[in-house]
Amino acid sequence: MPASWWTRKRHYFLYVAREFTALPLAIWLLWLLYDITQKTTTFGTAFAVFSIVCLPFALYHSFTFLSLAGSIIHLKLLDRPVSSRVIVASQFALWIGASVVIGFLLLRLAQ
Amino acid sequence: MPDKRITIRATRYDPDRDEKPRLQSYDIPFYDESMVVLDALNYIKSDIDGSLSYRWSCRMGICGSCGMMVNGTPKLTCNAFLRDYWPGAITVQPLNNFPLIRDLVIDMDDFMHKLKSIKPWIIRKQELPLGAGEHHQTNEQIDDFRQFSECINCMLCYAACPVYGLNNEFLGPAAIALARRYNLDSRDQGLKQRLPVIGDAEAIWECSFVGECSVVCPKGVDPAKAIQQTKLDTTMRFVLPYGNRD
Repeated sequence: MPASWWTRKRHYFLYVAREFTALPLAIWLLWLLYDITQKTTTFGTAFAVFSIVCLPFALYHSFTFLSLAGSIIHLKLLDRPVSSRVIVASQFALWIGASVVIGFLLLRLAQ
Repeated sequence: MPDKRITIRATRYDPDRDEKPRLQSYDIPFYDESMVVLDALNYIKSDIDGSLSYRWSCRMGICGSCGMMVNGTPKLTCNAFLRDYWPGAITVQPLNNFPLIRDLVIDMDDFMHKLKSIKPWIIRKQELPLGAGEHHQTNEQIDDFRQFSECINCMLCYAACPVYGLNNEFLGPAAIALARRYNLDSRDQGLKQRLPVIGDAEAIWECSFVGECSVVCPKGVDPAKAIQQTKLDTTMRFVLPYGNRD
């Protein structure tokens, strides 16, 4: 199989992009953990810039991950299978809800 | 439209004469809008070059024999219409990721061994005598596995799967989908016999959810779904109390 297999089709390219997004997120997490071990209370400009760079990767990764939930989770409600659309919608609702709660708490802690 | 024509570029390879496969062009009449790529290959074989080798049988998307790469995409050639490609040329190649035997014929032994390894038949702990009657199933019980039972073993999903292309040890989409078909069947009691095969590192856990297997399936089976759901089920079986009961 040629090394360029992932350029053959748009679907393959998007798959590789999806997998690649984990890399900057892993680096971001390691950086965050390192700063925490240094007992840093304020993060530097470099970390802030890198966080902004990582944001689209995180959003893309989250979007693709949650979109695939409909294929992974199979639930039955009253002996009827729950449609994958409902499962995906519930995942996005939980994601948005959790983001709002965490954002609210962070803003409260910052004050 | 008597003068309408189309170019078919087909892979030719004779292991006794050729070092590597090559493409050969054939200019054929496109005399009927319902013509499919398999019709074009049959025309070449009967009217131009009788030595062209390829597999086919039913001509109606049931037998799964005529899978080939059509312009780089795995397709049943009996279901790939020339009108969708005309006036462009059509390149027909053997299915990706399999050893080539001759022209458009691939070696399917690996798939056959993998298919057999998941025991794609109903396993009972104790067979009841025929006189005991049928195994009854409700429509809801059939719905649990129906889509996975549509698989016709055409191997298009293997040709589309880069994971299988990079690692031929991978059990692959169709075999796992069929294992799930039987594991979800209320009449089947063979889960424990299939678990060592489907739970292997080279089986469900090798899949990284590219998803192209489900895109190319001509029968609407969703092997990617079968694999991910099996991952979830085997994990829950391992984690939950009483998960390993029969």
